[in-house]
Amino acid sequence: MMKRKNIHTQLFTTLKESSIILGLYLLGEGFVKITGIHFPGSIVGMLLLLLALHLKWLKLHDIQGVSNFLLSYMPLFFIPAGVSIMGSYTLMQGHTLAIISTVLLSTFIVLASSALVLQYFLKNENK
Amino acid sequence: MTELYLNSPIFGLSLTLIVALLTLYVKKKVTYKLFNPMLFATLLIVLILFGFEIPYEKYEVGGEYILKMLGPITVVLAVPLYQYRGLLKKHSLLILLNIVFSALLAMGSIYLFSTLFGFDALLLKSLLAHSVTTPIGIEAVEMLEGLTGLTMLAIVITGISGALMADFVFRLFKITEPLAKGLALGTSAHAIGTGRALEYGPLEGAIAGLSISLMGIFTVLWILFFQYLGLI
Repeated sequence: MMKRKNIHTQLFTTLKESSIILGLYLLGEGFVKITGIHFPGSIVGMLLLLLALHLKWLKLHDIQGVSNFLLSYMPLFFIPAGVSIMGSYTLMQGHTLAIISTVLLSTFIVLASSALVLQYFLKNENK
Repeated sequence: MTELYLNSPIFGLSLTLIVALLTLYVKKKVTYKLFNPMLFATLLIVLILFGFEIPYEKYEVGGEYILKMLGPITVVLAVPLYQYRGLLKKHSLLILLNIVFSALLAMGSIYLFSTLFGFDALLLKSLLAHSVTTPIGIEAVEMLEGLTGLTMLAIVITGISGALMADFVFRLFKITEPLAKGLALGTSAHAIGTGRALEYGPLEGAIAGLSISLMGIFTVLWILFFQYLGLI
């Protein structure tokens, strides 16, 4: 009997947390649709959650379980994005190697420079 | 029977789920540090689709449902952001300036290599917004009148390659600061980089999540600025 009660509480918590997160996401998407601004609704949802936490409308505890789950497995949700290259690589027709090199080099430059610059200033700040 | 299965979303969903489970199992067993779960799983699915001669479109029906989950996941990025708000606020000017110039550098380097390789204007415009998250990239490419499909492809290649080369780059340039690692991953490789940053730690994830949105905002602002100047 005790065990069953625990499963129910757990299910309730998971459903409650999911509803809060999905609700904020939909609010964000709705906001973008209504105002017509060119911005991703999911990021508006992120800002809404940040605001809700800041104003203490929500506590971290209210969404902890589901958000920990989503954040720890985030890379796995990108698998279909990787596979999608299979469906669209023909778009690079004739320039495949040049396009991939351009994108790789640019990514390398941004990755290295932003890391180096921030680390440099952080170290100087601490001196 | 097989046709019925292949035509339903269950195919893409179950294939991804099974491969993801297998990947997590392999990850536990393999001690090899460079093992990348996302790349492993992606390649495995591509191999399976090729091996059984299943067209990508059949997979996409179900795969799209998993990609849709990235919306709620982006919302949840507010959690690490909130947890580290004090530290991020302390360095806010440094972070902000860094992202403003990273956005410029992401576009400038594309311009440089496009000129080197002799790309036409349409190709250049389709690649410019490659360092931002997909929804912002789609907005940006529409502003630029480039090819949306190509931009989305460039965004995915950017994300995967950034997440993959991070370890190597950080070792090469002796990057040890968690803030620098997370910021670099978020600005260069958007959400896929943020996924990688979260594997380093929650602080890395927090600043990477912040970087995605700021990188998107500043990329769009730079495009508007260059359009105003009549350069693109």
